[in-house]
Amino acid sequence: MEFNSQPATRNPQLVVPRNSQPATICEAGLSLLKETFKEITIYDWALFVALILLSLSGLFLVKGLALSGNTATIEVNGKLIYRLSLNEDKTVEVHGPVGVTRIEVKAGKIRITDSPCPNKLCIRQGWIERGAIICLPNRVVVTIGGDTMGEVDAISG
Amino acid sequence: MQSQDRLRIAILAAYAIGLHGLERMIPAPVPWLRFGFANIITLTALILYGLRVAMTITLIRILIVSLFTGSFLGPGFVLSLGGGVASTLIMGGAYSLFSGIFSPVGIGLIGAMAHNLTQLSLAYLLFIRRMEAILFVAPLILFLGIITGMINGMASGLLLKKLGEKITVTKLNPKTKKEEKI
Repeated sequence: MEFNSQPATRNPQLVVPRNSQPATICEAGLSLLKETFKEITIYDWALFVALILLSLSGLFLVKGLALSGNTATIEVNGKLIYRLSLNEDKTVEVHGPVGVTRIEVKAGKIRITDSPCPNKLCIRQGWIERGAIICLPNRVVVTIGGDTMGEVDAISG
Repeated sequence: MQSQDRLRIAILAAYAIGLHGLERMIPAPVPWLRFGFANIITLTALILYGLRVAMTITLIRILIVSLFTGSFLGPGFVLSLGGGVASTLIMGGAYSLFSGIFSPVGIGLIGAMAHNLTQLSLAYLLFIRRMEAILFVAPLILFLGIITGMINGMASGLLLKKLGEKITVTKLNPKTKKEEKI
C-alpha cells in the first residue's frame, strides 16, 4: 500500500484500484500459461520430442537424397519417357507432337540442344541444375529432383 | 443433453468457423504452414462433449467455410474434409484410449499429425501421384504441423481450464448411463 500512496496523492485519477487478485492482464496470462505448462504430462513432451526428431531426421534424409540422387525426368505429353542420372553424360532424343527434341546431360547439368518449336525458348534457357525446362509447343517437360513441390502449395488447405 | 449444451455446441461451431476463416486471411510465412486454429475448438468439443459433437462441429465448419470461400467440392475441400474427419476420429480414439497418459496437448499433437498425414496421402492419391514430390515436402509439413499442433493443444488446454472454472461440465458416462461432472 505504501507503494501506491505516493502517486495517489499526486494524480488521483490515474490510480487503478488494486482489489482484484491478478494485478494486470499480463500477469494473469502468464500465470495461466504456467498452469497450462504444468498440465502437460511427461508423455506429451516425449511425444513432442520424438515427433520433432523424427521429422527433422526426415528433413535431412530428404535433403541428402535430393543432393546425391541427382536425377532428371523427361516427360512428353504428361508421360514419363526418360529418367536420367545427371552424373553420367548422355544425349537423348524424344518425339513430341511437333518433332524431335534433343536433350543433353553433361557434368551434372541438363539442357535442350535442339527443338522443333518456333520460339526456341527451351534452348535459350540453357544449362540447368535445378528447376525445370518446359517446351510447351512440343509438350516436353524436363524436371530435376523434387522441384515439383510447387504443386502442393496451391491445393493444401 | 440439455438445451444449454446445444447452445454451447452451436457457439463452438461458430468459433470454429470464425477461426478457420481468420486463418485463411493470415498470409503464411512458409507456403505449407497452416495454423489449424480450428483444431483448438474441435479438441475442446471432443473433451467436453465427446466424439459425435466434435465430428458434427468439424463437418459444419468445413462445409460452411467451403461454401463461403467457394471451394466446395474442389481439391482444397477434399483435402480439408479428409484431414478434418481423420484427425477428429483419431483424436477421439486417442482420447478414449490414452486420456490418462496424454493431456489435451498430446491429443492435439496426435490430431495434427493425423491431419497432415491424411492430407499428404490424399494429395498423393488424388492429385499429384508423384511420390518423390510428396516425400520431399512431407518432413517439412510434418515439422511445422508438430509445432502448430503443440501450440493449439496448449491453447485448447487453456480454454478447457477457463471453461472448467466458469461452468460445470457434465458428461454422459457410457457405463452407468448417468451424467457426471468432469
